[in-house]
Amino acid sequence: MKRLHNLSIKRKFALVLIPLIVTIICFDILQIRHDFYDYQDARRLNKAINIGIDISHLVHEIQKERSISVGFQANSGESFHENLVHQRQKTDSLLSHLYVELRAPTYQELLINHGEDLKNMKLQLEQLLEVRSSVDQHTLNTDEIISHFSEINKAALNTVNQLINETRDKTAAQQVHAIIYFLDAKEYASIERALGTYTFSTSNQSRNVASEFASLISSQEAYLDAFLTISDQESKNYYFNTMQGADIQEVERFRAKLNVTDNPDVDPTEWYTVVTGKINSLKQVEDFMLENMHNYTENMAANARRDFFIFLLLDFLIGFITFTLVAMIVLNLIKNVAVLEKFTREVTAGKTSERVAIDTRDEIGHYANTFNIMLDKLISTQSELKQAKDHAEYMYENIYKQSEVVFENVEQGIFLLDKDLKISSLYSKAVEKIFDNEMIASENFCNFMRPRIMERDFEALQMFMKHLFNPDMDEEVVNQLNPVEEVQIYITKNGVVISKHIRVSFTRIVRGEEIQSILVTITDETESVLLQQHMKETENMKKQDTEYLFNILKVDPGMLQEFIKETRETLKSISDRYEQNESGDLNELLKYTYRTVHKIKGNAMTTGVELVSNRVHKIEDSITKMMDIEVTADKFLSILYELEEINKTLTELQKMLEKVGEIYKNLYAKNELSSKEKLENDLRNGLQTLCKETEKEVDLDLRIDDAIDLDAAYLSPVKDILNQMMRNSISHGIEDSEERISKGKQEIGKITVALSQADYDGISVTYEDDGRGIDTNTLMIHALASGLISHEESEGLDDHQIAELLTNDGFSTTTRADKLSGRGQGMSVIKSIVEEMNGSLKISFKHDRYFRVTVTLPNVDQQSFEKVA
Amino acid sequence: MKLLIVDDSSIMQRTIQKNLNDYDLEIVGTASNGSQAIELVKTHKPDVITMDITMPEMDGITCLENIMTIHPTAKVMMITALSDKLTGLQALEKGARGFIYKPVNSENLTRALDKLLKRNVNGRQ
Repeated sequence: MKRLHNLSIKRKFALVLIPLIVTIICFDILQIRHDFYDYQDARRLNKAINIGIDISHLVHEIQKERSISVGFQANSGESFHENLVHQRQKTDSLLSHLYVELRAPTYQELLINHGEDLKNMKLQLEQLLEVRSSVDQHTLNTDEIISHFSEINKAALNTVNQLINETRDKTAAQQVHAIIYFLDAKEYASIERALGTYTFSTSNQSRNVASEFASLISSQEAYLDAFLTISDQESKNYYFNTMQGADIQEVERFRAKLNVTDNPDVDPTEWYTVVTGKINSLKQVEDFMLENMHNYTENMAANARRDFFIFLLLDFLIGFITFTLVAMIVLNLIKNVAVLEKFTREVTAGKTSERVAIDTRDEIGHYANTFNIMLDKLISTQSELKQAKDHAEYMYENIYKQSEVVFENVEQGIFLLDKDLKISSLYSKAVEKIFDNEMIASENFCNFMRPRIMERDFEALQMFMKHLFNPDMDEEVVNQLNPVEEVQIYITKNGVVISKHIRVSFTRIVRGEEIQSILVTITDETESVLLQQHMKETENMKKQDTEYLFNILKVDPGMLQEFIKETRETLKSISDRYEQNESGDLNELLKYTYRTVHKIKGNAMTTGVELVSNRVHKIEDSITKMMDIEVTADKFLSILYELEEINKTLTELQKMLEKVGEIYKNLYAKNELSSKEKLENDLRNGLQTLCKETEKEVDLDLRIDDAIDLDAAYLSPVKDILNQMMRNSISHGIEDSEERISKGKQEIGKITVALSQADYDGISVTYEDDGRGIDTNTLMIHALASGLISHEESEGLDDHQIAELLTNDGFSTTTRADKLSGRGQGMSVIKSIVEEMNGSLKISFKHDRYFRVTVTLPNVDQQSFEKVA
Repeated sequence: MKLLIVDDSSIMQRTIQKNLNDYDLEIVGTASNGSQAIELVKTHKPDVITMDITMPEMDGITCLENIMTIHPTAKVMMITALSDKLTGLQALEKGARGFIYKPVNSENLTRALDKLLKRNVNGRQ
């Protein structure tokens, strides 16, 4: 079924129409054949009727001859002699006519089928001469004559019967049968005539003629009844009209005579005449019927022929019209379908310029129109789509590309974040530049930031992003908590970590009620931050310069000059020692450095160069830390670097000093100070500075022996020693005013310094303060804690031994390390200076009363001193 | 609406009081520490609470957490230091709805209150 549905329309038409046409043609052929057979049948019947008529004419004459022959034989030729001759001629004439007819070519085809009957008929007819000769010689009796003639007639009538009883036409067949019955009836009438003629011709009534007559009449009546039953109305009418008159009634009268009397007195000729009259009437009916039948068959043939031709003509005509119509319609349909199909193929292939042209108004025509309308709409839609596409392309070209250009060039890092915090694939080029990373698209923003920011900021950022996407939270409120608003990021670039200062801001992008994404804007503020820092630094520098200037201005330029010179030399001694350090004992070098630095700090403070003292204090810190661990060359170098920084500061100070040098030159040119004055100035200034820092009030009583020759070689060590002593006193010895009052001392502390000429070309320096002196118990506790002495050793120490402890390295009574007090190294520093000068040191004290140090420095020659310095 | 001020500084309390003229807010209490605040919340069920994040005894976050359990519909405005954003975000997490950074002045207080009460600039609902 599916295969049937899949056939093309052309094949479907073929499948439907071809069997139909074949069937119609077959029916047509059958009908034509039928008409032709009807015609043939009619023709054949017509010919058969013609022959039948000839035969029936002959039979009629033979019937007459039979009756005449019987009459002739009954009275031995008395009567009917003439009649007989005349009749025989008549019979022969019809016989020869029949033979002529039978030989006619037009009947040959018909007669072939009836050869047997004809042969039989001819044989019987040939008997006729013999019968006649026997009649002439009176060798036959009546019955034999009747029998012979009847045989001949029987054969002839049988032939007629066979010839005409062959038709397809019902009416004709019925009438043929009627005629046959009629002929039989007439034959019996004729036999009755013959028997009557014999009966009335002879006086011998030995035979029971009456019963024979009755039999003949009844046979006659039976055939007539059968004839009347099936005959057509016209023949019946003709029969009844014809079979009237005197002869018919006379025949009845004669018949009655035969029944009533055994010996009727009747003239056989009269009987013959009367009966012949009747039989002639019958013949008349027979002729009428045969003539009618002849005409009928002729009509039938003509009708059949006409029907045949009319049907043939109509057939051709209708066939032609039908075929033409079908061909026209089907071909048109197929053509239109093909046109439509071709068109749809073209449209499918994209050719839309043409329109399908089908001018029929059937469904296909409508389809074509609809299709054209559809195509128009399609084209218009296409054109709309194209316009939209062009517009979209235009938009893309002009807007997207513009935004791309903007994104390429904008200085801010701009991108969008989706709900999963993924960075949009479209982002401004600046993002890559800021993070020095090109793998940004689709990265999770928090994860991306994690290695670049502080862990605490990362934690805050995660929380912040969550709130930022929460529509219940006010954007401004959340943005107040932006943890990366100003943040420092760390980026590894070529293996080096660099930091940048960025500002990140977030803006919600809302569609309807939903927060669709977050617009992130990142600004690299490194430059401005660095600029700010730079400005701050510059400001600091300026501040430093000012500080330098202040330092210079408030410090005596000579002292400063000296300080710079001395400090440089001292610093140089450290690096020299480091370079000459063959033993590799860095610990010893470190201790030396420490002492030296501490000395510098003291000088810086007494000189009032805070800049240097501050820095030196830091270096002291570094060294202290280093003292607790194993010193390495590297670490020691770092100290040297720091000292180098001091050197640089000194250079700066030097430059600054030179700048203002002129001023000082002019100011102090005439006012050259002696070394004694310088020492006094230095000491007083130093004390002032120390007092200011500690908020203590201390007086200095400085007595310098006029005779003393304060050589430049002594000046520096003496100053260092006294500075250190003053710091110790103020830091540890002299109490604050409150404490002093409570102890019943003068509110203001007092330091006494006396410089005098020693006995052996040296100088003696006596230093004393009126402070706490030394609390031996506390000292012992510290000494034990520092591990300087054991418990056993602590028993029975005299003042001298206690004083020895004070000068030990690392000893301090203060736990507090500040610029002022140092770390208990004060006395050890003094001791080392004294030892360097080959001098002696004597310490005496009284708890809560005084602390005194007496230093004696021998007169050393210039060379040896320089070597030590 | 009822307002509770949780702050150990009386200066803050005064600053808030001074700026309430435009608002339909009635101060139902002032607490100088967390436990006091929680008691006042239980008693008054205030609609709005301003709270300093740094307080003695109980810190602002813990106090906020407790308040949210007792009275979840309260609109809490935290007063925090600008530098500590993580604490601020934690406060958001716990249910705070507004912030003012120290130092508090009239302008930023009004702005924060407007935000908190979802009023527009003109002060109309």
